[in-house]
Amino acid sequence: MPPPSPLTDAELASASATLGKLLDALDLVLFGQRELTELVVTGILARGHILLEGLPGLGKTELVKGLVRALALEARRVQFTPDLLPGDITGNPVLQEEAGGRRVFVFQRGPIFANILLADEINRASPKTQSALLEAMQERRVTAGGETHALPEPFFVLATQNPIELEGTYPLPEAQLDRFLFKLEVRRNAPDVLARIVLHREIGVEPAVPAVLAREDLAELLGAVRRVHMPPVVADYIARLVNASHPGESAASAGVRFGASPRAALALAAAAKARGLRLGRPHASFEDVQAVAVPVLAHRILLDHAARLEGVTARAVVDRLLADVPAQAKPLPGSLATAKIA
Amino acid sequence: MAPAASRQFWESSSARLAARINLAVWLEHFGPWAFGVCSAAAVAVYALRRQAGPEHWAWVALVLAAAGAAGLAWRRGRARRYAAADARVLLESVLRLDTRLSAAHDGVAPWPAPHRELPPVVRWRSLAAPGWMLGGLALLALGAWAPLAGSRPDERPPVEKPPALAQTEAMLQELSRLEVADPASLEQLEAQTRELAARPTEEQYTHSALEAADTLRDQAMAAIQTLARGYDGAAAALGAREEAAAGTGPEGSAGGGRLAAALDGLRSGRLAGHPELLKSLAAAQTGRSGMSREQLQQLQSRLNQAGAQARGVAGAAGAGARMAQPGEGTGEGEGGADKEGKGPGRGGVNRGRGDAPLTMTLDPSARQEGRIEGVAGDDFSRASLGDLTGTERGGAHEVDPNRAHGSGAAGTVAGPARGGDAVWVDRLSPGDRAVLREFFK
Repeated sequence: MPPPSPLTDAELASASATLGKLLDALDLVLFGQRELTELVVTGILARGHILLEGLPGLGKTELVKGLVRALALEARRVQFTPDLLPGDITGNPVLQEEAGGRRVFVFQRGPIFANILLADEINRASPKTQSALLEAMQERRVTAGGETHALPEPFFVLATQNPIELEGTYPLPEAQLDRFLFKLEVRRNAPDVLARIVLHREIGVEPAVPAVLAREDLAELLGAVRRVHMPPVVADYIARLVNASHPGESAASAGVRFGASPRAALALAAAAKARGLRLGRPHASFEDVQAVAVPVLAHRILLDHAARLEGVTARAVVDRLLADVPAQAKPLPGSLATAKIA
Repeated sequence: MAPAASRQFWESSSARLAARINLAVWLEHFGPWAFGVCSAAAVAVYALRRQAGPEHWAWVALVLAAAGAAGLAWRRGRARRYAAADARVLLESVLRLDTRLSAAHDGVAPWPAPHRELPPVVRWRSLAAPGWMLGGLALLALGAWAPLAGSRPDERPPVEKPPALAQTEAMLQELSRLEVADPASLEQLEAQTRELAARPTEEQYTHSALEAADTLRDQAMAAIQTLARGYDGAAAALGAREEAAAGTGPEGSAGGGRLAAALDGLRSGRLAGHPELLKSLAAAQTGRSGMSREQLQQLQSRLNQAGAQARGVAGAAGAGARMAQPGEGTGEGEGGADKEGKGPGRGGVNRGRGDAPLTMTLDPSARQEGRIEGVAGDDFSRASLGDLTGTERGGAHEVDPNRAHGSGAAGTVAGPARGGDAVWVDRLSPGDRAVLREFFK
């Protein structure tokens, strides 16, 4: 496959301006969560599915709804509950009688047939129902009744979940977690942000979010991300990071039971390229990888029992990986150290 | 700034960074080796300085070893060396340049603008590597310039010559000063003395060296005494011949024969007489010199004086037994003026002490069994180590046959004996021999 042509300055400037508008629109939905909205936009640009985790009432659903409105795409929302069945999401074959009196099964599309599926409180559904999303998320198609149905392009799953410690929740299986590009934690707001929310929001009244991107604009941006250059040294850095996450491969992976998968390496690369485009660069960088490492890797690293008992978190492991794995693979001689550049 | 200039700036910065890292890699390998090489060289240089040996070989070896170690260090660090591309990645990651340098190198993005002042990307964390080298150089400097206190041979405390050798030298010098012996024959003895004195200091006091010095001293003393007797004989023969010539003596032609024999003795002895005296004596012996009676008497007196001086030299350096000195107790004896005395003399005109000289005799009756005769040297002013200070003879040794002996070593047998007997012998028992045979098998 020939390498894609590098992005021109004009394309970069246009993409950067468009994405700036999108972020500004999302700022109207969530106050004081710029870092979170940037990551969400980055995930969208990387064609990834995003899992938002946080306590109820922090604005997860509002963020997704705002994104849907800003992107002007077809979106469906499914409120996941324990009694939700897989067919309630993917669709069911329905027996219909044709004009000649012949009865046939016709596939009745479920809510998943949309550009954006808002899976609200996804961890409240049973594992069986959660697994119904696996094929759709990975292959962007649904198979029912022996027939395969392609999902519309683009297709994103934006799911929210409450922390699993809460009652009435089911932890997502690892296979499904691995299909989420990002798992983002929605943290509570600072007092000044809360004050802004109190001043500018009202219960029952949704914020007005303008449609910033047309479907074609988004397709163009997604194509531009694929043309972002991945320098070999950055690819090598990603590979070393992912490899070091496995037990026994580095000191940072102490307490890890299973490390990140190759899909995680692909996710890191895609997210780094998307961030590079968002920042107006025609290439990905070490800094891009480091910026997206925690949301990409943390939910893919499984800790062993002892580490969990000791209070070690996957995020801490990723932080250790970032500290221990240098961008330059070749080690410095022992008598030298890298200088601290302010 | 022009893109070419930016590229040049970053590429040269990468190259400089790579060179600095590679220097550190090389130093890490070379430092300990340099310390080892410098330490060995310091020891070698110091040792050569002490021995006053050729130091330049140590320096040449040091340079060669250092060059070899440097090459080996460069080779050993090959896998850890940084290329310019490696340094470029390090540069952009530390300076947080968003991988712009690699992207620019790949032709995707423009080279970033050069920094006005590029901060140092790496810093020295440990000075161990240069510390090794500095330590080695310090040792080398110590080896090259450390003072050699008390190590030079000429600064060592002088070692005294063995007493016998010193006495011999003194005798020969005195003889040379008094001009009573032939310088050529003196030179022979002096050459032997010099040869002994030239031996290394640590060998001066070995058993063989001391024996050689003693032997040389004894030979020199014997030669001097022979010379003295030769002079005395020549003076007596000259006097006898003059008396015969004057008709007052009993000898005639016999006196001339004695003079010729004395002259031959003075010429053929190990220490020959002084050439001038021998020349005058030869002239007097032939009778064709036209020497007057007074001149002959003067010659006789001179011969007597030379004999006395020679004896004095031997006596001054005597090793215990005191030589007869004029006026110091040598008696005339019972045999008259022209005969060897027997027994203690009565003393000379100046009434010296009456101790009898040790004499050798073949007359068994002279032995006085049961009576101890002895000679004691009580003048220790010129005595030296090893000198005999007294003898006694004639008495029986008091040996207690029942005296207890301490434990001896294996194979040592010791027992009481009379004087002159061997009182111990090293002898291996059959068991000892068997052990030794087994050991050397």
